[in-house]
Amino acid sequence: MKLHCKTIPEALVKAAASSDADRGYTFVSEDGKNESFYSFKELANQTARHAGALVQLGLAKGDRVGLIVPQNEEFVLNFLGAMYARLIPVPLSPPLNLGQLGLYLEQIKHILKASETALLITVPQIKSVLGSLLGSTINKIITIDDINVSTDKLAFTPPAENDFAFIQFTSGSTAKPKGVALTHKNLVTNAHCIMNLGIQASEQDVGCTWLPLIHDMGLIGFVLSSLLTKTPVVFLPPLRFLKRPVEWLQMITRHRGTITFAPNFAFGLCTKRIGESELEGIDLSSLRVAGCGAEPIALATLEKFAQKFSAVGFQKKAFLPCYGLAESTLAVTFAEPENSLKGDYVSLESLTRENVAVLVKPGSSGAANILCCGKPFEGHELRIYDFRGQICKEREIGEIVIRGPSVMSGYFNNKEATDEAIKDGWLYTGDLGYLQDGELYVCGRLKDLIIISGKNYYPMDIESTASEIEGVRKGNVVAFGVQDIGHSNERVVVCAETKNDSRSYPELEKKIKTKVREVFGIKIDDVLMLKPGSLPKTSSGKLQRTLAQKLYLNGELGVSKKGQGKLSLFILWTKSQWNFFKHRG
Amino acid sequence: MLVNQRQGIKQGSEKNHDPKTYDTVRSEIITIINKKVESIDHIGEHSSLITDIDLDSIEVVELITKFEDKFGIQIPMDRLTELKTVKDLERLIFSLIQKKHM
Repeated sequence: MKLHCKTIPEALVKAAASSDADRGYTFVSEDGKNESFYSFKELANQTARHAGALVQLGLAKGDRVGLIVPQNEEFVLNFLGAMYARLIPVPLSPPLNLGQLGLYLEQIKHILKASETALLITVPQIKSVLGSLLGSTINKIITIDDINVSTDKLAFTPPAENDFAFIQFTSGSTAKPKGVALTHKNLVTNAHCIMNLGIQASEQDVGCTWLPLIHDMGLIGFVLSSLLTKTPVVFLPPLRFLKRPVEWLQMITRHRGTITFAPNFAFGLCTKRIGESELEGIDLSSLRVAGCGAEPIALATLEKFAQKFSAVGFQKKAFLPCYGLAESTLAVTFAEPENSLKGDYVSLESLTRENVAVLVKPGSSGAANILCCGKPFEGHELRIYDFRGQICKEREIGEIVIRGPSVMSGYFNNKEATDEAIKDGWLYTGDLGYLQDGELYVCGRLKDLIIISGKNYYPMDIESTASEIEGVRKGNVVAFGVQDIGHSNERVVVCAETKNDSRSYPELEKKIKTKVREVFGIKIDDVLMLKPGSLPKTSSGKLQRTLAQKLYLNGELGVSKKGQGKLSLFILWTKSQWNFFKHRG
Repeated sequence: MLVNQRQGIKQGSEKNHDPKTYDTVRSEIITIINKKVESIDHIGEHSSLITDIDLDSIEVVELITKFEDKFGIQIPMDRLTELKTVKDLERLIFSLIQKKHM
């Protein structure tokens, strides 16, 4: 693979030197009323100034710098500034609005400790709530106003391609936060794959995004990758999209956007929330790539979007399903451009019973649609392993494993987690899928993770939150998601033991639902209260989440409902096979 | 000190809202919530925003936007943590409406 630069700062410097003054990044203001434009040249200047200011604060090469900056413009300048100064930025999410501060601080604390962050940069409103971390967790917290950007520009010294460029914390888990440490080589390689091989970006392209920049899809996919191809990008604050989804379409119209990306739920939100009257003046005919990833993709959601917005020029062939994960930088496979949502209709029955995706007629009973996510990029390998660790045949379902220059070298300072994820250079993704003609079809998730609206939640975090409720037996709670093919959002289930009388069950159920909603902002679909000793445990007293899930799905736990989550049952079966062979091998 | 170019975005004309009485605001807020929540229990002034209204974080944003559109105001997201009951919400919205007409 031939790359024309080796690091992200070099890509920025090159873009600044060789692109026209009208190419660069545009930031829509928080109130949606203004836009500020930085040509790549101006972006590089400001980046070098921010870098200079950071160095003046006494930071040295390789130091980690935490960033909790909700405004896109300030975030990008500080993030790129840190990279330019050869520091390692660690982006962190701002507190949830209706969330509880306690749990948020706990998560931030773990991440700051795990990344051994030297300095935290934030905004004044957030700094005031972070006070308790000062001294114990972090030595210095400054606000963006404290950064003296009027200083001289820092002279450019390129980092080495194998230097860590930044650390992305994928897990909000309070127990063991895992930070994906990415090198410049990882980033530049993946950026090349995304922009040149996947999207096949040209001079005419313009990116438009509302994605949060603390997640890989927004940060790597737009802020970093676009530098490589000097592609102009317009950034809309995520909250503006969530408030009025039509602003996403308005920005595409205004800037003649050609490229956008979003998780499945965002397309659903547009269909649901944008009224006919809001469509006046919208023109999506410029859009040639509407990428979709980060969570399971439901064909029905995309089709409804296409149906509704074809009236304003949206072309269905613009949809580009993709597959990826943070441990492989961002992107692993992209569907062929203009493949018109190619997919398989498979028999759910044979998929879940025989481990094989047997083709059936669309619309026949038990048929499930699985979209094609395309081939792995040049220079990368993708295999499907069965539970014996052997390569699956075509259409046989197994774990997706990948190898190549986009795969992280490991989790930061966490050898145990790294060794579990990467064996002999192969990254075990924890996702399930099959191959047909070298193209990937993703079917589900083996790993204990719940994805809601493109965001990841960890069962352990939900369990410990539910455990805090009075009346719930501490440590005797399991949480899991129930996956079904064709549904992008999974159902969240919590099973909890209590010593209380069954008359108190409805009240406890309500308390658990309320607390989880308050802390995580997600709804629980089903809470099941149980007598002490109902949840299965190992002989050493450890809760068996997988077994509990199986009992639940089979209707053998309390009075749970039967007949849902066929895919989940299949995943559980696969898992048990996996563990069986792991223990023997 | 930013040396970049700033540009205004044309937006639709904002509707003019007459000053409303507290009681009108209250009843309009409760109507909007009840329409959105479709709860069996009727939501009233003393209902808790946390325990009585079952909305996820995206739906909360949607609800806030409905109030903004209805009353022609901007509700700062960082004020949301202060709100515990429907009454708190009424007070915040009413004060924002009054500020707008000052």
